[in-house]
Amino acid sequence: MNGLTDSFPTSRSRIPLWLRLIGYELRKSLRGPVVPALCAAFLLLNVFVMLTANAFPLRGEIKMLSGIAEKYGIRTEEPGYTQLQADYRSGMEHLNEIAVEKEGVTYEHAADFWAAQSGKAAGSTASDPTDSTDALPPDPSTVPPSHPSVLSNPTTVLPDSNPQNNGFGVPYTEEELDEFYLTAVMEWYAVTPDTEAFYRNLDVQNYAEFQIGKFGLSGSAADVIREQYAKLDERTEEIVSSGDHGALFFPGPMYKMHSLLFKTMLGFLIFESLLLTVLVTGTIAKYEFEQRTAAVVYATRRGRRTAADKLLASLSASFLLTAGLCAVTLLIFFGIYDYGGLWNAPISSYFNMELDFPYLTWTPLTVRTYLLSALVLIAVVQLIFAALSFVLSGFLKNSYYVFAGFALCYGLFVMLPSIVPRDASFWIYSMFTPFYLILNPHGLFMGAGTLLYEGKEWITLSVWSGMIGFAVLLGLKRFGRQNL
Amino acid sequence: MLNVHQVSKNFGSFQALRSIDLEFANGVYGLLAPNGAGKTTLIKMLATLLFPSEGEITYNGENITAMDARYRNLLGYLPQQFGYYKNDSPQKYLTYIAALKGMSQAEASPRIAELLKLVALEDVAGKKMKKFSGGMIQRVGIAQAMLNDPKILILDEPTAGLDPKERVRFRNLLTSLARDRIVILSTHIVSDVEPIAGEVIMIKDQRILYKDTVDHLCRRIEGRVFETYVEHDEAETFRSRYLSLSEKQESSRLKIRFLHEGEAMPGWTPVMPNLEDLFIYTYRDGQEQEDKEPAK
Repeated sequence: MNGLTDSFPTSRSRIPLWLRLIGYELRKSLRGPVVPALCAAFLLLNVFVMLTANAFPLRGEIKMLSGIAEKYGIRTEEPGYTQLQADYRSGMEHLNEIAVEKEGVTYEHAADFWAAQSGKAAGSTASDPTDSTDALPPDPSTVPPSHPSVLSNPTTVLPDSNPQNNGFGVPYTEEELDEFYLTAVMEWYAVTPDTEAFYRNLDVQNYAEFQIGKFGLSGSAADVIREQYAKLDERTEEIVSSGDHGALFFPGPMYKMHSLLFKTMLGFLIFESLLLTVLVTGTIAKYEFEQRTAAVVYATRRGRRTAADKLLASLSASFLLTAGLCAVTLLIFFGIYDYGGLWNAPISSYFNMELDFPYLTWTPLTVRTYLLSALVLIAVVQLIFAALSFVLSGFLKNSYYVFAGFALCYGLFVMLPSIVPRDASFWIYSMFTPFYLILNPHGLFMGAGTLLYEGKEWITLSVWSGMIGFAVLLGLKRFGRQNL
Repeated sequence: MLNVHQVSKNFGSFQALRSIDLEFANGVYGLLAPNGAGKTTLIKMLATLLFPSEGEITYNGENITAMDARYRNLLGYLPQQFGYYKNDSPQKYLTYIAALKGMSQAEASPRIAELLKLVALEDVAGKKMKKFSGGMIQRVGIAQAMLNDPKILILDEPTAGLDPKERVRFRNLLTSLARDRIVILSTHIVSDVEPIAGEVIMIKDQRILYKDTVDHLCRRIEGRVFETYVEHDEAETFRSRYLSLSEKQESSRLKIRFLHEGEAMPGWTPVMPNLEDLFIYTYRDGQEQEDKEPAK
């Protein structure tokens, strides 16, 4: 009678009893068509989202950008960058040689060449390329950032694969156009704006006041926001000092790759995993009552301790389903979008900025470490959700009620900040819930908006893990003394 | 020895059992009462699915709640509503229950084979149970209860769905098992209990009314059970005056077995009472009570 340490010391099976029992519980939840069908549907949906993303038609450019980062490195202070600028200048010289030969003009930027060709293709008269003020590098203090690159010009017509039918009406060969295109892509990085000045001039406190005004905060709530933005100001200095601000990245305004990966894809993955977690946990926890097998199962030697097996099975199933769904989805995603040279690019890079405020992480995070941290966070959140569903199942009649109960909890916790007074610091802390945390997966680990508190992720997860762990223990104890 | 000491069970304001005292040694015990009288509540307490509101249940002097897994290790239980996993085969299902009962696979495999043969399911051991008849399912239930060779075997309405041949075989099986264990058989079918029960326990008004051997119980109404013949047009009047226990059509008249507590009339033949007579007599006033146990 060793409880969880019971084992079968036989030649036929050396799997410990508790592990076998967890396996039985997993089998109960995963057999039947619902979970596999949902997983397949979610994967199809995720692939559909990837294929219909704005960046999908631009994946060739993304691959090219990634290749440039791979070849020259991502740091502007490193020798590779000097080489990139040299290669870019050489590319421009070659472009102008050919342009003079074929059109009798020169271009200051490769982007101007493409703008001019696009104009011709559209049947309009191209402006004098040397007179184009648009072609000048932007004032770094302007927000949002702009760039003369072909990449940021939505009217750019990209080269056709058939040189005889390239649509430009000029006698450039396919090879020449490909080369000019690469030069234009390199230009994005080679002709960088003064990113350091941009960060130094970033008025973080003004942004804090904007957020305070936007949400109508006052009192201690506003004080906390100001305090956090003051810390973020210091962190901005660190980012500049480390050189992360100028590191190469996919151009944010054009591709919005941070949003695509961390907001859209992780957002879908989080809610899909959540649905699977609650469904599987509800099914496992209430299985004996729904199949009317409770009287047999709970009168065996294992008895009420089967509930602990069910808890472990729920946590395992939630983790495995979340991990599986994330792994397959992200493998497909990175198969489509090449991140080869940019895995170590810092999220806080100027180039990653998509709107009017850069992504500023509280600690130095690269694409790789941000993704891994976000995935760990998602896994822990799903375990918390599984445990919460398990606790709810102790009070609710069947798995449908567990689902409804969880949805109610979710709604209440998401609504909490809207009913809490906005002059108390509790307004900030009311957002420290796993439900709120997963609403903005692209804003994790960074200072932005009002949910910018440094370390909010780990504070939230630690506190909730503790609370849910305690609730689970109480739930198991209660079940042990419950009339069935 | 399994003892029930002054056990009561309340569900909110409803008292399902009141101050029950019982003692079980090895042998077959028939727990007899109409549906809703509290049989299942008592059985569930013996199976540790319900906890007494007052009093305690002990096995060899030790509280069964405190014994926890040690007690349940001695227990085999077939609930009234036997649930099963319809997509499992009996083999798979019994393997799972054996694991819950802490049996190693080496122990479980031969035991499962033995029990499947005993309940005549060896030919369908690998078939999914969703295609099984009620009787076949009930036999799976009996097999799972006996998996761990329990010292205390509690069976709640075990013969439901069994055909007459299976019932006889099942009764014989229980008789052989009862030599060295406690077998508690809860039923409202008197004929299941009468031939095999060493003692019969009858519950009425949430209390134990009788606990005695079948013979002793039947003697309680000795001299009060008669048989007579009545014409069809007199039958209704007869039933309104006497408690009819059973009726049988014989030629143009009805042969009525009935209970009367006064002097015998001419034409009445006194007969030996049986347990069914006592059952009908005992519960003559009672409508079947609704099960007041809160729905789960």
